[in-house]
Amino acid sequence: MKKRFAFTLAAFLLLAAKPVLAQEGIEGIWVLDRLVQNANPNMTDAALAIQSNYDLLSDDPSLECIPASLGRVYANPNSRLEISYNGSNLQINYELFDLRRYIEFSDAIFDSEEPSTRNLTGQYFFEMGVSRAEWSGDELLVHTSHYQPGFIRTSSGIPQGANTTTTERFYRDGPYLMLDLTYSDPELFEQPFTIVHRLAADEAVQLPVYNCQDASYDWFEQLNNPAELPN
Amino acid sequence: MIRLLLLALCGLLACQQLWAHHSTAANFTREIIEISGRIEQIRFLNPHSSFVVLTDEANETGPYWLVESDARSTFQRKGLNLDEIEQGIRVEISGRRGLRPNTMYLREIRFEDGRVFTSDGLEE
Repeated sequence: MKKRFAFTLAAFLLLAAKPVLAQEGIEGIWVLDRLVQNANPNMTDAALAIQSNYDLLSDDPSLECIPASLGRVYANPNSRLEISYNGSNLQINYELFDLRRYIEFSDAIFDSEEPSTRNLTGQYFFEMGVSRAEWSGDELLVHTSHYQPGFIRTSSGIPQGANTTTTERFYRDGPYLMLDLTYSDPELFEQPFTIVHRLAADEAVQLPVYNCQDASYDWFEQLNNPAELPN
Repeated sequence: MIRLLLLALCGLLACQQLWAHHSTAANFTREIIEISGRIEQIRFLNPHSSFVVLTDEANETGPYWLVESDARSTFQRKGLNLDEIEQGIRVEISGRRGLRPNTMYLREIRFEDGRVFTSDGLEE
């Protein structure tokens, strides 16, 4: 009898807790918990041509501490992101490369074509595009365009073009923050495709400074092949 | 039945580990190699922490090997600090051969006194 009561009580508490968690927002510090659905686009001939010319040992923008794309930043394991919303503006900070992304809730942002993302030194990244946000019920949508060509996946060379557009859809699933990142670009992809991320709350109270250093291998190649001293 | 469930769980965890090192999978082969030499530098940095190892100590100009591992931020989340590892001592290192010459991805470092370092920490 006691066991049955305890089981019923536990089941009730679990069911009661779920709606409370679902009502929680998207703000906070999060870290990638699982890539639920990876990028698997059906690429056009134009995209395949770009991919075939891609050499990850030399073409990966990450070697210069530059984000290759929004998709690449979200897929980086073990690096956190912080979302804050003050009622009119949205800010997403990424630990990777110390990126700071300022997003307005207005189409007027597209007139300026100023990238939404910069790093702590003020360097802008056109590879991250220009973004605006909107609420759709409890879900947050972020629409981005005006991209500079880059790579959605640096390991396989899936390209991003100047006409690529994305929509990020943030929503809660229990304790997790879900992010569906949908890419569209008729020049590069036969149809839109979606990458699904599951993010877990992180215990950090603030993002540490990343301070990307020596991401390229130049310093190491120099170590093994020192330049001859001038006469 | 329990064995089957445990096997499935192990498979799931293994897949997650492979995914977590997806970029590593692109830059490093699956071939496990071993080198021995002297740790010349420990670079506790983002995006890649690494050890620079002089493999031919008789020839002080190299060749050097670059042994890469997790990012500084990843180590810090695990509570690890690579700066606590001594430099200038002899070690044996195993890891995955890199696509770039003289590079590898750390599996373990074995010190002469029997200690072993992996990306999960130092085992005394």
